[in-house]
Amino acid sequence: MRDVYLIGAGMSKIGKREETSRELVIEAAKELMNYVDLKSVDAVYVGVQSETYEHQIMYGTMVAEILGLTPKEAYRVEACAAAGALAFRNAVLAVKSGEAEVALAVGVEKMSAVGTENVTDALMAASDFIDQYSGITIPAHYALVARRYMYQYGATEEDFCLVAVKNHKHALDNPKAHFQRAITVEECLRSKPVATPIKLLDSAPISDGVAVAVVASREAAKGHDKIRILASAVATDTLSVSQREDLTWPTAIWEAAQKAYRQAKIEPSQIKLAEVHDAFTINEVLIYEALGFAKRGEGYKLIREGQTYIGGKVAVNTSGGLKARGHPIGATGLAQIYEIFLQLTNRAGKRNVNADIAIAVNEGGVNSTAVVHIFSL
Amino acid sequence: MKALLAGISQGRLLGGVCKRCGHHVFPPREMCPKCFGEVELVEVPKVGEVITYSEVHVSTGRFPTPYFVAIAKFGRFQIPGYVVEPVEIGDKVEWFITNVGGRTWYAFRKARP
Repeated sequence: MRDVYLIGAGMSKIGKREETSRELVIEAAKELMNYVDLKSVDAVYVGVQSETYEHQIMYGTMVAEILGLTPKEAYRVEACAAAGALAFRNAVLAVKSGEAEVALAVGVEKMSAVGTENVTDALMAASDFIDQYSGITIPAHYALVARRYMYQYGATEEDFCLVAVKNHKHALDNPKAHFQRAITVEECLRSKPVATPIKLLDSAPISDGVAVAVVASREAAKGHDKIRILASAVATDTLSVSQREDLTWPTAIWEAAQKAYRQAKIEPSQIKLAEVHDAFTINEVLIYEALGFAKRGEGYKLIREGQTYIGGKVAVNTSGGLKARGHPIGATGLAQIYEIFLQLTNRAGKRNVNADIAIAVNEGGVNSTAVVHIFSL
Repeated sequence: MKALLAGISQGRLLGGVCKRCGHHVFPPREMCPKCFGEVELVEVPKVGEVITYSEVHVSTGRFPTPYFVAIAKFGRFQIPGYVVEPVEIGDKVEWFITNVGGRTWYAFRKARP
């Protein structure tokens, strides 16, 4: 099938926003319009996690209406926090197959209108009913994984906090980040428990935001900033973490990454920039391993050595990641791709890393759906 | 889901074992996901071993916080559950049927010697 390109992206400021998702869609689209004529869009795919927050489904139609794109094809896709990258994958497939010349992917979530208990409940729907009935929230799932990881490999709570410290530092140079505030390991260790050993500062915040990106064929990409999409891959694992042989191994991320590396014909060592799914700090460590940046069971050593800072072996989460850029669930996968667009087109300002190949890892549930994209200049 | 809930209403925690390939399925389902064989319902062994745990401080409102959860191995079944007391990795626990978050459900407690 034919080559496809990322030709533009946009993002609202992430954080607790007073606006509804309708305003945030326009905020992100206005930035996108610097790169792409919206009238050229043939199809729209929208990633959203939950209808709970705004009592709204039909986000595909909603976005098409707001952006003047009716009666074009538009619909919603969902796999919890992987919804954003899945919307992007739909756009990739539509253009690759020839169904569309230009496709728009949109990620939306407006979470802050409801309280923490309601958000916890809405997210818990991503686990199996045996977990839900047992009170195993999504943070508790990551906590069960983190506890087992510490037991198997000797990592510590300090190691996980190092991930949060790094991502907060990176976000200092990202004016659209939810948090622009440095934190220390001590603050992280002292922060309130969410589900032990996970603490508040190990956890991504509850955020509002919208991110958008446009995929085009070679023909349609002419005259635009052109980033090649080398790979787009998805893999799955059980809904309940309990049903995995090794609780600490994110099989879906490993499988999606392996597929993506084969499609892109590249090795992990060629990647200089990664935007990954640090919903909880433990997960960034697991992703180092699943992407082949570190051996299985040794991901925590990479952050101990500071190798994933800007300027390190591989810059991970230059945007601040989910932890500090923020985590508007359905928008996160596209917020990652937005950062990669800025980085590969030298628009990332002080946090620019001059990368030529970048990877995005977005997942839903507890690494139950993994979506991996690889980009190059 | 139906088989598990029916078992719980009779005071039993049920898992599934595939008649053809022996795969253990939890929660029990009609069809083996490995070989599509027929699954037989069996009672989960009473005593298991904790392989990981957490104390939950932020939840949905259905479960008064803080409370404990764990994943434990009961024979060849690996089962997530609510725990009525603090536990550590390696502790022996037993399942029992009780009220969890307003529902009749299973939970774990330390195994009585």
